[in-house]
Order: sequence, then structure tokens, then C-alpha cells
Amino acid sequence: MLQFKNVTKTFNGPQGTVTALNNISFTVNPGEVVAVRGPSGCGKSTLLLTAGSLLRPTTGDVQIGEADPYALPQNGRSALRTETIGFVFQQFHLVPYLSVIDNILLPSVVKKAEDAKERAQQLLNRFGMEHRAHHVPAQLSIGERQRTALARALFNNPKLLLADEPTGNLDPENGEIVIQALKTFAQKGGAVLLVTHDIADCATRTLQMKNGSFV
Amino acid sequence: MKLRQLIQREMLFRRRRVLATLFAVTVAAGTLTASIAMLHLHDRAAQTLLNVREKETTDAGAALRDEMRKATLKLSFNLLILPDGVDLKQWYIDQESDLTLPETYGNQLANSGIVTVRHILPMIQKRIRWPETGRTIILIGTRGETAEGFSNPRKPLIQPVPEGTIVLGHELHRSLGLNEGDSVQLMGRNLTIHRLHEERGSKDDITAWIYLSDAQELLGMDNKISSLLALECLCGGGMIDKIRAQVASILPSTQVVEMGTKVLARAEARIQANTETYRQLEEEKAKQHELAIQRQRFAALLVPLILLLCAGWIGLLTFADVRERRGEIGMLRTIGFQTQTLLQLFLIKAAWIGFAGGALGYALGTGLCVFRISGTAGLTQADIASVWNGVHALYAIGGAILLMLISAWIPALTASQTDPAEVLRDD
Repeated sequence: MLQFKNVTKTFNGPQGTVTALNNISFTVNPGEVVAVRGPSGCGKSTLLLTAGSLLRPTTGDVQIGEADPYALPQNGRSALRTETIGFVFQQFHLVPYLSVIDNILLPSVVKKAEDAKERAQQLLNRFGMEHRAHHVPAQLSIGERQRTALARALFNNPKLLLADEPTGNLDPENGEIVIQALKTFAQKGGAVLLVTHDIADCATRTLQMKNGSFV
Repeated sequence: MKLRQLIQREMLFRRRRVLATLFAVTVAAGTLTASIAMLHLHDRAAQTLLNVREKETTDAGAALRDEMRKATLKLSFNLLILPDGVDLKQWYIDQESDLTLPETYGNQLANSGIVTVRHILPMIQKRIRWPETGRTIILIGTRGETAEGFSNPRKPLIQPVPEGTIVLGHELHRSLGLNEGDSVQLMGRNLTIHRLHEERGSKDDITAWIYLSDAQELLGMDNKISSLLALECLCGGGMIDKIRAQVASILPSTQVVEMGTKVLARAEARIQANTETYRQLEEEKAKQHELAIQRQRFAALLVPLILLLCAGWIGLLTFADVRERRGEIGMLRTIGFQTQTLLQLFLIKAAWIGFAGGALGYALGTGLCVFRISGTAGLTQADIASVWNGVHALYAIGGAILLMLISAWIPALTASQTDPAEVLRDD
């Protein structure tokens, strides 16, 4: 589902060139939860953004399904993300002025669906958020916010889920809910790339990263 | 979910900023509308006042021209024909001269066929002492108009004094206590008072008129006259030299004097007044024009300045909006929002605020203008009502939307070009 071939990403900064990804190659297949672990600054987030077609690699190839996202124009990449990829962030990135149900429905702004409301309601039920449907993020607990973000990421039935420290801010109970959701997603044929600096029990495979390379 | 709902919720969430932006665009639209409406109404008021004054002047001018036409038609010009040797300077002082003309000159002129002279009055005029009363008077002897020579004689302008009678000026008959029909003696001759004149406020008030031959006898001036009066001469000012030449060729050793009349003097004064009114009207027009230009210059300076300030303010508010929503924009990019959708997110909002601000600015600007200008001279209710104009409202709303779109364009473009990777990495 996701394939990196000799991917290198460098940044030019005032201190000189920084290599965030150094000749990385790996694959995430459907049904897999691949965890990438490593200390802060080792390149995990860069890896995730590159995998999400948001950050063009300096060299190397990235393949998402059958598509080479960086060969597509910007709008093509946007469409690819809508159709194929779900994102979950440590900071949730919920829209503060939208209710829980509207946050979940947000992807329907760019991809119209007649059954959008039913699907959003199902996700609400699945994550136990029915009673919070019309609350705004400021009225939710941290765990509820992450569950809302997860529901939004799953709204368009993506094939690839990219999660950046999804349990980093959560208590064990909510962390478990999120982990279970990722596992379920993978069991249904989805591919999960999870970056974390914790031990990821749910991972089918764990890659250790240091200074932009797998070790 | 629709983009419209997303924009609505965001506007409700950040209502203070929306209200601040709305205020800015309302001020801009209001200023523009009020300026245009004020200029329009001021121009209208000035034009109405000028029209009224112009009509008054035109009406007065027309009345005057009509009066002049009638006066000229009736009076034409009066000519006084005197012996050539009369010193006019002295004649004006003494109202008399020792020099005379032959009485036959009257008939000679009438028989000449000169068409410009229509009424000829031979007369003797002398300042004398009235021995029976001890008063100094002007004695005028006249026998009525010479008409035999005219092929188509006109009705006489001056009623002749019958032989053996006398006509007295106001001061004479009033001070002497005389009445019509009384008998008086003048230089030993008995005369009956034929008519008494009303007060004229001129030398006529101390004048006595008698029949020409009576006067010739009393003054020892048989077959002689002092002067000929030619009345209602059909000549304009430009023809007087021609008349002089004609009269001189018919009546040798004479001089012709054009006599002004009170009516003409009054008419000249009124023409001058009319000319002065026109001049003042032109001055007023120029002043109003200058004022209009000054108002336009002021508006041309003020309105763009306010528009620029408002545009800057709106731009800053939109930039602040974009900055605050950076994380949200980054996230929207991750879920597939395209550049144009993000652009729409900001520009549709700008257009909505522009629409509301334009409508509000139009209503407030026009309302303020109407309130401010009500009661101004020269403006009717219809004039004032005319500023509530659908086309102006459309311009105000269209202009406000345009202002919002221009002001929000760069911030919106910045938002749409936001690199999501950069935003997410920063977070």
C-alpha cells in the first residue's frame, strides 16, 4: 500500500544541510500496522509527511497504492489524500468552531457523499461519542478529541492511515481505544503507519529510526 | 457538509473579527455613498437655486424688453430743432434764447415728406416776469401740431391750447389760488384758464402755456418761433446723425438736439439693473461651480484615503485571520482541500461581509446624508428621496464586495498556498 524506495529528504538551513531521511526504503502492506520508533528529531514526522504526499522527497520514490503522488499535480495529490489517506495527529487538529459531528463530516466538503450523515453517525457510535455529537472541541476531554480526530480520519474509508503519536496525550483508557481502532482498521485490510517514541503494542512490525535511517 | 456551512460557522465563531471587518467595509461604503449623495444633492440644490434666479432674471428681462418695446413704440425719440446759433450750454440754463426760427419752418418740415418725423410742434419759449402777479415764469406759446403736410396725419400727441386761453403749471395755479375757467391777465391780455396741470416736479410747474399767436403778439415775435419740437421720431440711436443731416438740408441754419425722456432714462436704469442681475447670476454660477469643484476635490481626496485605510484595515484583519487559522488550514490540506477551495473559504466570506457592509454602508451613508441635508434651500422632497436609488445601492454593494475581495485577496492567496508540511512540522 505504501512503498518507500531509497527516499532521502534534506533541508537547507542556516546551519547547513540537514538530512532528515537518509536513503529509506520500506513497505507497509494492507493489514499491517507498522510502527516507526525513535527519539525526537530522528525524522519520524518527516517520514510521515512524506508518506502522506505532503512533503516531496529530495531523492527516491514514494508509491501509495498504484500512484506516485509526487508525479501528480498539487490538486491530484489533494484528491489522492482525500480518497486514500487518513491522518491522525498528536495535537488532533480539530476545527474549533465545528461540533463533533461536523468535524467528522469535514472531509465531505471536498468529497460529496449522499450517506455522509449516516457514516458520521456510525463513527460517532463506534467511538462512543453520540452524546457529544453537538459539542465543540473545547467542551471535550483530550480522549474525546482524539476519538473525534480518529473518526474524521476514517470518514472517507481510507486505505492508508498515518498516525503521528496518536496516543501521546491520552490516558491509558483512551489510548487503548485508539490502539484498538488502528488494529481494527488494519484487520479490515487497511495499512497503518504509526510514528511514536513509545512501544507500540499494536504494531505488526516496528522499525527503529535514528538520524534519518532505520537501524 | 457544505463549504457555505463551514464559512458560516467560522464567521459565528470569530464574530468580533467579522464585526470589525464589517465595520471597516461599512465605513468605506458609507463614506463613498454619502460623498456621492452629498455631491449630487449639493449640485441639485445649487442648480435649482440658479434655475430660480435665472428664471426670475429672464422673466424680469422679458418684462423689461416688452415694456421697452411698448415705450419705444409709443414714444420713439423726441427731437428739438433750434436755431443754429443757440449756445446749448446757455440754453440748458436759461431755457430760452434770443435767436429765432421762421414760423414757416414747421410747415416746411411737414411738407418735406421726411418719414422719420411724425409730429411737429412749433413753439415759443421765453422766461418772463408776469407783471400782474410779480412772478417769474416760463411762457410757452404753441399752436398745436403742424399736420397739413403729412399724407397720413397721426392723432396729435399734445393737445393744443385754444386761442385766448392759458394752461398753468401746478406751482403757479396753487400759489395764486386759480381754478379752471377763471380769468387772468398776462401782460395786459385777458385769458381764460383752460387747464391746470398736476404737479410734475419740473420746470413745467412754473410754466404757462398760451396760443402761439398770442405769445408772438405779447413778445413781439410775429411769425417767429423759438424752436420746433419733433415728437415720436422713428429713429433708433444709430440713426440720429442721419436725421440731423436730413433736417439740416430741409431747414437751413438749424441744429437738432435729441431729447431724453424719463421713460427712457428709467428703462436704461432698469436695463442696467437687469445687466447687473445677469452679472450677479453669472458670478453666482461661477461661485457655485467653484464650490462644486472644491467639494469634488475634497471628496476625491477624502474618499480614496478612507477607502485605502479601510482596505488596509481589512487586509490586516484577514492576515490575522489567516495566521490564527494556520493549523486549521494545514489540517484542511491533509484531508484534501485544494488551493481553490481554500481560496473560496476566504473570498466567499469576504464577499458576504462586503455585501452586508455595502448594504449597511449604503443605508447609513444615505440616511446620514438625508438627515444632514434636509431643509437645505433649493432641495425638494423629491430631490432628497432621489438619493435612495437602487442603482446607487448596487454600486455601493458591488464596490464594497470588490473592496473586500481586493483587500482579502493577498491574505487568502497566502492561506491557500500554505505548506501543510511546514505547519504540521511546526506543531
